[in-house]
Amino acid sequence: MLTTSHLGKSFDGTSMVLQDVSLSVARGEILVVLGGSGCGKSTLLRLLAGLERPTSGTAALDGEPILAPSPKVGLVFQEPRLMPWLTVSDNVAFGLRDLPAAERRDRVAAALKRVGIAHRANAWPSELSGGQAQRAAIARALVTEPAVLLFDEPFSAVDALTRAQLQEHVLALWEADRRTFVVVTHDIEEALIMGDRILVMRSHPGQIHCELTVDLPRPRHVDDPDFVGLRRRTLELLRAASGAHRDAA
Amino acid sequence: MVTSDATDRTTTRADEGGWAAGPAAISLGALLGNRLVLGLLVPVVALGGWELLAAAEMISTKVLPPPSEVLGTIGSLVADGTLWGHVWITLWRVVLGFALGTAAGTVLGAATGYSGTLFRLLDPTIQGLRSIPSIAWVPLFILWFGIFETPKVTLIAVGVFFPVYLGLATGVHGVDRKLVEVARIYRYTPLQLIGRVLLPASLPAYITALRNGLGLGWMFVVAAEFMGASQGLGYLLIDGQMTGRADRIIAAILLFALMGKLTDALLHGLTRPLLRWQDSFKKA
Repeated sequence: MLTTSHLGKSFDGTSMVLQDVSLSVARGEILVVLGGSGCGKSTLLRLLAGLERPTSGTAALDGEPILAPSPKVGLVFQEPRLMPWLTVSDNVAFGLRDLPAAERRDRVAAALKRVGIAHRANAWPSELSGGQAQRAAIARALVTEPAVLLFDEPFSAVDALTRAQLQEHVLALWEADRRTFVVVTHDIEEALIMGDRILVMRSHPGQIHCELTVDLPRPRHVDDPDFVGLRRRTLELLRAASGAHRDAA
Repeated sequence: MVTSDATDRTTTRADEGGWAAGPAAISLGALLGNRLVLGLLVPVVALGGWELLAAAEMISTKVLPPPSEVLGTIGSLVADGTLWGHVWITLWRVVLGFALGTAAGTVLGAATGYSGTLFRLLDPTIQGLRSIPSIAWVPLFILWFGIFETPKVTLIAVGVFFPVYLGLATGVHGVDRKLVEVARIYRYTPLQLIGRVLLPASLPAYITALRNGLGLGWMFVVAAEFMGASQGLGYLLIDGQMTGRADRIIAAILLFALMGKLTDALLHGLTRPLLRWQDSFKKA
């Protein structure tokens, strides 16, 4: 169980980027954090990953406070962030430095196969398409077998078709072994396609505006009437969230 | 004209040999398209002109001996067996000084690149020392280390140190913070971070710095050998000046150019495979 309690973060000591965020994510759940720019959603993810220390409150995984990066939590960044001087398979092996070479090789090969780019194992990152690069980044996060996988707007830099494929692919990965996923996005459709639950955020300071349960069966289709209805409601909530900020300002 | 004559002869020979190559394959255009030919064009024309002017006695061969005489001088140095000694000792000094300067520059460059505290502590001092013209060290080094190999190698090492240090520290500072964050996610130790992210990421800058350093190494070996050597290419220079032999001076200069180019090409060739991953505008 991934939890936060009254979590807050300020970078300059005066204005809060994130304030009083309390949430819990059940094991095997996909939680989506939805919000516009400046709502602190990426900061929330960085706190969960242990890349930042909270200014107030706590984040914890299975009761252990998260104060530094841990092998139990993987993170897929917005950009692939592959090391340009390493081949795809060496990039995937980046997080496996302490394993014996044979085991490392096997696990890297398995991870590349899972994300569907086994044929690109020996390519340089500069030779990959955007979608392939992000798949390699997902393989790098998966190969260490973390209990929790965090995604920071992972498909925002690729074209629409690739994005749909990657969403489907990430859902298939989740179906396979039901890890806990936390996905940050600003895209309502992405939130509704992926999430079991959606936290709608509001900005300045970043706070949870409301919570939404998506009880549509998977796979979800964007033209399904229930989906369309839910999308309209989510959009209203998101408007209300930004309105709340505007009224407060 | 020389070029087109050569072309014609080649064509004839090719035809006699019954080759299928058409004339277009070895046309003037193709020759100009050849990198090697194009690169050699200016020096060959210049040397040829120089030789002709000397032969026509339009320039004094005492002041500026023609290429043929310089080659003869090099030939006689080879013949009496002294050339290898001169080349070898100079090369040895450069290599040793380069190795020491590179080692020091790499350690300090990586350390100050990695640690902001070390950078603020050491960089002002290093920059201060850098602004001392390196030749100014010569009297002090002689006083400290005598007149044999130590002061020479030290001077070269000092010359190599600064570009290597500066290039690496700048390179490490320029490494993408986002890549460093990936290493943080995987809990890399500072040494692992330096070895597996910071150094490889700054490798292009580092290799350029090494080549700059090597160039300065060749510059400083001349200064080092001016301060009282009994052997070496720099000694040949001084000796040529003392004995009024311009041919020896030019021979030594040519050998410096040759050695400098060869060692740089070697360094470039050895480091090139390390940069295969670069998706460059031009594969240099």
